[in-house]
Amino acid sequence: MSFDPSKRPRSLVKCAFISIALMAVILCTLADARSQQTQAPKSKQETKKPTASTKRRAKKNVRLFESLKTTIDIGGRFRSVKGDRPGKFEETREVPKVFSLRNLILKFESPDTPFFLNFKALELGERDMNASVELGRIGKFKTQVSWDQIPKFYSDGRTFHLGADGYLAVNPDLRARLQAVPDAGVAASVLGPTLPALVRQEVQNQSAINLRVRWDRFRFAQSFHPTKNWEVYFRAQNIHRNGVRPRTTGTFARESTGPAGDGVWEALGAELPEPVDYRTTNLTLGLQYSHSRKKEGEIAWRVGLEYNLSLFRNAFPSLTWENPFRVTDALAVAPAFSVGRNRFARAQLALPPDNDYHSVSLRGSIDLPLDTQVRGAFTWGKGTQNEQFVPYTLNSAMVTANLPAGVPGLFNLAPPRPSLDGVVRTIDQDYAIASKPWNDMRFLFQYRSNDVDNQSPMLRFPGLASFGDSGVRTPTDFYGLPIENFPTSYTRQNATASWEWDPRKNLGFELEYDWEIWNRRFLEAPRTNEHSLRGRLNYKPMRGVTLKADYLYSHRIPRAYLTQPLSFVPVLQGSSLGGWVATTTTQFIRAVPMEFNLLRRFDDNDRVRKDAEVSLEVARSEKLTYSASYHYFRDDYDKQFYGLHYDGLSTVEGQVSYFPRDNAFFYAEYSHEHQKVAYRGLGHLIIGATQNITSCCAQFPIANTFDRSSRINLDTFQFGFNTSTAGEKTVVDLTYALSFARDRTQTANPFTILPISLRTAGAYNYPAVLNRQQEVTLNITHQLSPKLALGFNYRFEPYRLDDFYTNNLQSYSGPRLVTDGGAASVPVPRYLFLDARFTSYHANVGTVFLRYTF
Amino acid sequence: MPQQHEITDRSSITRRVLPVLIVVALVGVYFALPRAVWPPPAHAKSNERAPQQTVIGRQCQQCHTLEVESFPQNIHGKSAKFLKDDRAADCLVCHKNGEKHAETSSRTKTGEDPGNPAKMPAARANETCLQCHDRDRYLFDWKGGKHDRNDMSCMSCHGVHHIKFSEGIAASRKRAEMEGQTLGLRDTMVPDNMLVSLTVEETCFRCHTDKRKSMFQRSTHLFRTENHSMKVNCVSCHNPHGGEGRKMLQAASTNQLCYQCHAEKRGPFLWEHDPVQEDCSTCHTPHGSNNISLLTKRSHQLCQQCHVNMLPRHSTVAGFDVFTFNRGCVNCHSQIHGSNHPSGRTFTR
Repeated sequence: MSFDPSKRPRSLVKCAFISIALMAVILCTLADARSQQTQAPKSKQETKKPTASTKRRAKKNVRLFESLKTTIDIGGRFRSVKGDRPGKFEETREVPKVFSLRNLILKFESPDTPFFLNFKALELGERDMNASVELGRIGKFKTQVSWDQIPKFYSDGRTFHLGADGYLAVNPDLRARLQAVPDAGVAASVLGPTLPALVRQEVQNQSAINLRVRWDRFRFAQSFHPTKNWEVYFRAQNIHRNGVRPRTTGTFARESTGPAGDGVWEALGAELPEPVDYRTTNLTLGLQYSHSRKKEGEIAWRVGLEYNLSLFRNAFPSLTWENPFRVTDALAVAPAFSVGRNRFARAQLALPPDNDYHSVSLRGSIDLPLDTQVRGAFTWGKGTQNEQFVPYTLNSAMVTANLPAGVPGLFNLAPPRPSLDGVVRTIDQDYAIASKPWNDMRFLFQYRSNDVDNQSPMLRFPGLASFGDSGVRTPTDFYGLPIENFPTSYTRQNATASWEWDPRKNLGFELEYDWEIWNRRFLEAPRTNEHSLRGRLNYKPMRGVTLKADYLYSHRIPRAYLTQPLSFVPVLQGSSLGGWVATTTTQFIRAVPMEFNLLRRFDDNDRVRKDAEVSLEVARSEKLTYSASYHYFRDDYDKQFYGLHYDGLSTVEGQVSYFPRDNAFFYAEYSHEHQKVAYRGLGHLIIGATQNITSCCAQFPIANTFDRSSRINLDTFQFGFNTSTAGEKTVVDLTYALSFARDRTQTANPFTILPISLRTAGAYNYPAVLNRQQEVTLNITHQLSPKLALGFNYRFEPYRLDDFYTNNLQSYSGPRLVTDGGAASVPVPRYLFLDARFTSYHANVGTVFLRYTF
Repeated sequence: MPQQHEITDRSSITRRVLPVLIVVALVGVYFALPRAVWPPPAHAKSNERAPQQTVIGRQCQQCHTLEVESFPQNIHGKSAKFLKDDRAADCLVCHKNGEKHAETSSRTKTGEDPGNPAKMPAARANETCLQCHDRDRYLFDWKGGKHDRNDMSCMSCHGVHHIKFSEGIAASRKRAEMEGQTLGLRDTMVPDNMLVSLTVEETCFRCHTDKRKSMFQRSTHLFRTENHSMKVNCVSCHNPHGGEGRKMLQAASTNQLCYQCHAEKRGPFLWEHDPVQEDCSTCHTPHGSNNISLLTKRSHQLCQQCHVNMLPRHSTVAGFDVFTFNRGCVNCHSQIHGSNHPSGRTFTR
């Protein structure tokens, strides 16, 4: 299961050998070919006026190997990584302990051939290796091929689930043992010590697994110019994602045993080792004709046609997993409906379905007099998805006989159709007129549009398997609205006009107006208009000094914002602040979010945006350059409503670069980013909601309002120092980087919350979240000879993470806990974690390398 | 343990790399062999070089030795030598006044201005480059694009000769050398695409300094390998010459761009999560985030911005509340990008 490092050097040597051998074959062939070409007769002009240097060149029979510059970099490494879960160190890279061929670079640099060739292989044999080659002939063709591996490591974990081909099984003996424990399936509040202890022990008995996915990306690009005006090009990209990653699945349980009777919410679920085998293939074929301007006044134009195909294939369209706690199917039924969930023996997740997308684009541009260009691009596309639906449920107990009258048994019930047969049509348009009629003035008028029309069918379902596949929800649970899908569509349009004026050589202004329109189908804001105005100043008071300022103001206004027609009750649950409720006569509206009617969503609500930046750059001399900038960004939303109130970001930055002498260099950079977010929410009532239709989920007492504010700081500091001896024989580099983020979130209740809603509306502050990443590198390279260099690289990486989300992910982790101040207690999450997470670490890595260039 | 994991770990490097190398070899043979068996191309027979280039190049070399000597090896030098049409970039193509400059200059005296694009106003310098590069499809949206309007010249990011750098570029290049020390970039005379700095990201960070910090955030697209090689860099998503989409994106919309790698999110799904289909950046920030998975906020706070109903437990004991451990709301709503399960209306399966 785990990678055998002993195989790596062997593979590595093989790889290197094959690489070099193949390159040698290619280059030998080239050499033979080119040696014929170099014997071509000289032109009259050259023979007429020979110089000493050309005579020398003429005599010399240039061979390709003489023009090939090769760099081989071989290293040996030691490393020490300490920490509880140090996986972050290799999250997106591999730092092996062994000897490695770090880099192989071949560059063909000959002035005597129209061909060019570059080959680059980095970190060969490692999970993050990259190899690319680029070759071509000037003015004729260019070929690029690359292979890139990108690892993604999620850390180690432990699981009960083992399997293949999209089926995760659990040892049947273990399942039976866990189901037999007396407190299995009861409410968390009455959970005894037996089950959690047994679960934790059994988890520890499982062997550790690596949760790792690797992206293998192959790219091929070919461009061919049959004539100077024509270009035909082809691109292919294949991305293969392969491995295992965490996939969460779960449900909630609710107990009514809290001190105030408002219920306790608990998570029930499991984190699964999901097999990943995705393939994405993108192909592009295009051609372009360009008619250049041969003389002044002539019109130049271009036209191009391109076809794109993108295919996504998932080897595992679904993931079936066994419930470790049950071997027999059952339903969660009254009186234990709200707590006895996850009673299935097997469940199924639908993973991303295969999909196809084709598009054809046509574009053209024409250069008119007065330095004016008119251009346009039109792209038509079609996406399809027709993966077979998986069953509603695999729970064999979910049959009519076990359910109340009128509730459909979903087990073995066929969906309304076998698959979605989904179709999305897209049209993208971009038209622009760019003109510079005078030297000091230019204009741009542009229209852009993206139209996504989801033509997938709307299907109605008799019910849904829910609550951990242990219950059925019917239209009754959704206030009588049918259970149906809504294929959302939208059109985004932008009309932009820009005017730029440079009254002086060192002074420029720009004014830009943009009108953005969104039209949406099946969303709460069917249309929004946003008008924005941007002004920009660019001023160079003296040579090497640049002052820039930029300011944008925009206002987005929804033409309408649709909400469910809840009714206001002046006195709700004894609160004179009142609240909003659904009554027995409330008629809910299809395709409108079933949300609190005073909530406004930030992505389509009324918004005022201010974005300003000012910067100063000074590069007066080659020795010293420095710059400073301040950036202010803020989105303000309508504060009369609930939801996001504002989101602001301010950043201050400064950097300096200094060459104290010819062979020394220093830089330093600091930035401080401060984000402020304010949000207003409301804890609605669950228990005691007597005025709505289903006694659930539709009472919104104003007294239960809460305000939340977050302050997030990010400090980044970097510096580096470089020096070298005469002739750069010995080069020393020292760099340091620090990134320190702190997230503090506080909540408060502006009113006295209802006594029955301590847990649903009580405000508690969150612990701070810290993320501190540091990187120190020291690099010393000594040139032993003109071709051979010996180097030492040392890296020190201390990393600190303190995040309450992941600090404790032990499965069934322990006894009930008490909140801050003891206001309320919560149950243990009955969740089977993989415990694949990152924690703080310290890493020391030393590398000795030899670099040979010839 | 599922077998897929074994496939990942046990994969032989040879097996993975071999197809690439075979393709490389075949393509190499494709362009190499015909040269050996076919007659030499016309220009090789007559060796028709652009006459002015030869003459001017020699004249220029007397003073600008380094520039002229390195020039034939780069792509412009090759074009000047091997192309016969108006794409041949000889000295005079870019230095329009080169002839007069040569006539009036001596080793001790600088003559008339040769017309150096690096010292011209951006618009004029760009005109020089666009003489040939206006055919380039990547420059389709250049005119009136963000960088064009910000008075950026081609020379802001690209350098033809790479001998001298302006003040700001020298520091950037040095910094890239230090960062790329382990990649052996220090010896690189001409970086890819003739960039002034040694890497794409370092070129962009010169102006977009606020993006540099993303490299060190808790989750980032700008992650680097041990040798500081960046797997996803700025041009993976943006076209610096003016992209198809807003913010110079390589695709017409944010989602179209994201789907190029994350195609599993494309759907259409039976149960759509509306903001997912509209704009990935509603929930994710593309460069770097203090939260996992490039989320703009912590999981439960992000979800609560749009969902109040059924979320009464907004803030209880951190780490043990149903919403505030592990992945937050996604603990249960794991198919949050859309579900194709008939019972997946709430994205739980």
